[in-house]
Amino acid sequence: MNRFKPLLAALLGAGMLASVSVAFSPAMVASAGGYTPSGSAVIGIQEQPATLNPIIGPAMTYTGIVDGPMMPNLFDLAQNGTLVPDLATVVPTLQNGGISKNGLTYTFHLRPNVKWSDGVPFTSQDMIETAKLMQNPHVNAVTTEGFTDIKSMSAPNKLTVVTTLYKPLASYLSTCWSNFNISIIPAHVFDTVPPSQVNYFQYNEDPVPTLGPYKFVSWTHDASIVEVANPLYWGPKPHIKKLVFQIIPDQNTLLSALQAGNINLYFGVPITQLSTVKAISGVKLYEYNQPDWEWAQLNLKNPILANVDVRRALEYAIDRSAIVKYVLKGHGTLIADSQVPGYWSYDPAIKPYPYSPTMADKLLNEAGWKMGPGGIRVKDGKQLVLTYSTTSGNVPRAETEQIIQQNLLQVGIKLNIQNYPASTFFGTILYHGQFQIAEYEAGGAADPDLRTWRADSCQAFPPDGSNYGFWCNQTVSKLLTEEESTMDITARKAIFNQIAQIEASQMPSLYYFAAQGVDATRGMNGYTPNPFVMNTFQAYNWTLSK
Amino acid sequence: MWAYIARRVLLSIPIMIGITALIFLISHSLPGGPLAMYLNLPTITHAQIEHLTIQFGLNKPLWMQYVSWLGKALHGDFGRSFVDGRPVLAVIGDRVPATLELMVTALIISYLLAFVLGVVSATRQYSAFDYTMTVLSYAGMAMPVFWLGIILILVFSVDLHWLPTFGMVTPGVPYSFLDNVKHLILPVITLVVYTLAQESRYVRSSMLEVMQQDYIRTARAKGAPERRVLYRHALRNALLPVITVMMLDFAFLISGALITETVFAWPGMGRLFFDSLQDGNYPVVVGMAVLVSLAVVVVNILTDIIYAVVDPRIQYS
Amino acid sequence: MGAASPLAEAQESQLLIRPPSFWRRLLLHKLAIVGAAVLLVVIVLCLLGPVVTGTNPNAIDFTAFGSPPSLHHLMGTDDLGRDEFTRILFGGRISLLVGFLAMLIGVGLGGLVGAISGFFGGTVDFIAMRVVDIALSIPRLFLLLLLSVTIGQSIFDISLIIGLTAWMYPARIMRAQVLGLRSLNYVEAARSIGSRSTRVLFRHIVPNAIAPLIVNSTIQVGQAIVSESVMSFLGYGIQPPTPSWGNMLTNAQTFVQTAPWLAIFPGVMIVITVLAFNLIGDALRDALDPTGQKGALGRGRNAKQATA
Repeated sequence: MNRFKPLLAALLGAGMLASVSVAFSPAMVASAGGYTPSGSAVIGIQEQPATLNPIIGPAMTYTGIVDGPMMPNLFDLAQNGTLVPDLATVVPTLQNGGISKNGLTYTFHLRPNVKWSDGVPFTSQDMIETAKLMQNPHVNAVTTEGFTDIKSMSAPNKLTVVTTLYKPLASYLSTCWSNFNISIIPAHVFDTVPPSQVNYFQYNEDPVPTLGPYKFVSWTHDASIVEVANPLYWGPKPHIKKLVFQIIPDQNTLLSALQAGNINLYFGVPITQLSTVKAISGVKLYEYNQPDWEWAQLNLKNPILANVDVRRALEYAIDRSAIVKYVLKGHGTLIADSQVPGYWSYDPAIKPYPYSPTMADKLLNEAGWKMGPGGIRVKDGKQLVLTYSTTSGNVPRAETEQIIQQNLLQVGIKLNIQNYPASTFFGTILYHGQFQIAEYEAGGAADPDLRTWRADSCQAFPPDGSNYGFWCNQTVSKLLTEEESTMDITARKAIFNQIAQIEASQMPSLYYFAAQGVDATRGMNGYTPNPFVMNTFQAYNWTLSK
Repeated sequence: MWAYIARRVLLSIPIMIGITALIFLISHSLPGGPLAMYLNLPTITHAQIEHLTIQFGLNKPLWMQYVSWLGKALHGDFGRSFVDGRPVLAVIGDRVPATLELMVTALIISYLLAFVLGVVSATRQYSAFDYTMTVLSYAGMAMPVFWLGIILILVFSVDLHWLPTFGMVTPGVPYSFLDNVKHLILPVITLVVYTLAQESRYVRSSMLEVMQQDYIRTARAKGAPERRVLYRHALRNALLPVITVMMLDFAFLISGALITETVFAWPGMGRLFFDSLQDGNYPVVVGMAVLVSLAVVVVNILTDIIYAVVDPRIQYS
Repeated sequence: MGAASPLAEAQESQLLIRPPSFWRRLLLHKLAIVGAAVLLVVIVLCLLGPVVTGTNPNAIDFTAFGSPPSLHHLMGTDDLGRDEFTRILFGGRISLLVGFLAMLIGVGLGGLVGAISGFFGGTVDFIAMRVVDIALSIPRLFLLLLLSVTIGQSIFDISLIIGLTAWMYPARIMRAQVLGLRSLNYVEAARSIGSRSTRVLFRHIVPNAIAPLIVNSTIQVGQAIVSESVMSFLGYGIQPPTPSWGNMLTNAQTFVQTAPWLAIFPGVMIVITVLAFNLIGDALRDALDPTGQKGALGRGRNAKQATA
């Protein structure tokens, strides 16, 4: 249920801690035991969720965090991005017959004896109702990706669902039926609601009933949301009785709350606070790679940037290792393309460009940009001046762009900075292509295919995707189509590898780094970070220590 | 008299309409457009955008949107927040108690202090005290409020650990009045420093003005004790203009102290406005700006009427 | 103040010129002299910036990230190792420039509206004053934010935005002046000999009404410097790497715990400079209005909402 984790904190990462990539299944976790859940854990969250309904947009990180302990889906995404059964008993594959040979028909087996927190049994109707609402145009769905590909659904019995797709979609399971995007909603509550009323339905603020280890108690607007252990949960019994999600809309506040020992869990510690957080006694830091990366999209409609030599020169001219070292204080990995360390499609063999003003100089000369008066390059009487934009008010980004400005000036490129508040930046500047170079963090997909398609495909120009730079490479588009209908993960990886190599040689965007994410706990054990979803779904593992 | 009141109320109608139109127009010309918060989602599709445009009525010409908004607003329906789909009035209503707590505390303290300091300054015009007060109040006004807030946090929270830094209460612990008060101290000081600087100058000016009036001179000439002259005659008359001005503050009170609320993470209305603007949450932005502005107009009218009733020197033609 | 209140109008028409008492003049001039001297030092230092410190304000130094004040870096360095003192001086240029530009725009626009309104009266006056009422009824900070999002972030844009939220006070002051002067003998005389109205307005009335505007202008420069810092704080300030006191202060927020000096110096500069403007304004007002009945404070009440 991560959804837009990248929007959460611009420069945080979620990724590996490769050592903890133990396939996780709630059923495997030691259960029951002779204890009753006790105490309460306080989780600091920076924004109030817009809604607690897991299927209603606009997608927000904090809806996912708060819903995590209450609302599971059929599968969970493990730390390495693979699927683990949750409300389903088995992950459908070609081998086990869950996926038909042509890749169109999926058979799901739901877990028996699971009850909603109001005692009503969980059945195939719940899954079907969820998908129907996601497809309904009246519902302001979190995303329609994946669901629009479903041609038909049927329920042969109470615990089996069969869905048929229009065309094969390799990421179907993780997009629609993992806890990444949405959760299952109760059919017995929603089937009486007209779809046009779903956007404003009571369940959005008062999500009762739910299926997870915790259930909803109260929501005091702008203050806190409280959940309590769900006695009807089928899986392991939680140790902590109460979860309090405290809304603290300010990073400085979150920091002081952690210092004062008033919160147990702080997601996404900003890099600028790391040294202070480390100094707090009893704090445990969790650093992990994320499936997100910082990059600058280049607007290829701009004649200067349309030249591949200029784009490559830019990448050579920027001292990205200095940025990682000084701005990120070392908490990031340089990247060469968009298949970053947080994904299984990552290929460490493709090396990032080294920092080389000499190479940049050579490429720019070849492109016809000769050094001119005042140290600025000139071609056909025009100076090499570019405009750089990112979201304003973000200190690490402001530092990054000023270092880049200085780097580029050294190779004769004048960079003007024009930042915008986030809503303007994303909603207007990127969306309408009103930029030359635009830096932001990309990511936000459970599977590498959808987000690679969005960024790289010739069909993904806005408003249909987020290829804001208008890069169109027919080979890449073809590979993406081919990948969609490939079910075998090794074969898929090979395709992503080819795409990555084209990206690295064509430089449609400037690839910077994948920042690590950092979460902090204090007085709490059993926390495991997960790069793909907010880790609250494993809240039953948490224990308090004082 | 009644004619004056009627004229005053009638005059305010075009002003109110003008305010709503102006706010509506500015809000809808903001870059990013009303759907900015949706457009920045990588997963959004063309079909979804079209649907949202229709759902929010954004496909109609601007004047029609305005007319239909105004029609609903007159019936108390300011639309629904784009973020969570709740009615705008409910979203704003959630923030009222926090803002009231902060502003009422700060205003009461600064009024009381303003009266004492202002009156003392006025009665000892050009004394060292008056002189110091002048410089201090100008300094108070010269200080960016957020800077004062940051400095207070630096000193009292970060260095001395005396007071909590942010929010209304300590997160995660049961509510206690004492805890709430502790959280109030720094933001209230911040607001008081700023308000006091202006209010005390205002009280001082008002007192000085009254003390030069003929009736005060007469009282003095008749040999009334200075104390009596000051507090019976001067202060009473000086209060009137001061109080009317202070009433205006209460109108602004509803907008909350945007900066102070932001610095101290106080969940009030000012912060709501700022957050909504950042999110491109149009219905809330428009609703708040309109409601607060209208409150200012209403308080203005009340102030003028009260003033006209109480002060015989004002002619209402 | 919102809609024209009798109180406000009563006050506006009271700018009568009378000789001030000796003591008052002396005392207030002392303050004004201190203010003027401080301002002069600040302006000269800022203009001479590069000569004083000999460093580039934007030169990033990886070896000196966030060093505290020392002999080498008088005010320490910022998060990119840049010399804070140099940036303070360059930032001062920008802040003062915005201050003056915004004042010119606000007072210019307001003065014009007020003069036309007061001179022509009738419908023109009615409409103009209702527009002033409308603009005054919207809390200034709301207006500032709304315009910031719409207009832009260049130095001129920011000055324009501040000017557009501050023209209402000069407009009212000017109108009151013109109303008072319109009926005076020499204006009547000029009219009676057939001078065109615009000529009467700009030749005879405006020059005589300008004194109280100058007082207001002084205060407005200071207010604009504060407003610029507030806009930066809210994310709509001058773009990097160009420093302004406002954006330096805003940036410093992130480092309050680790590098407090970054928050202290720009703030101190703003307070000193704005205080100097306020003191000068106060003295000027006193020289024009010896009864001392209303401070610049009485006039600029709404300005408060811009910064709280």
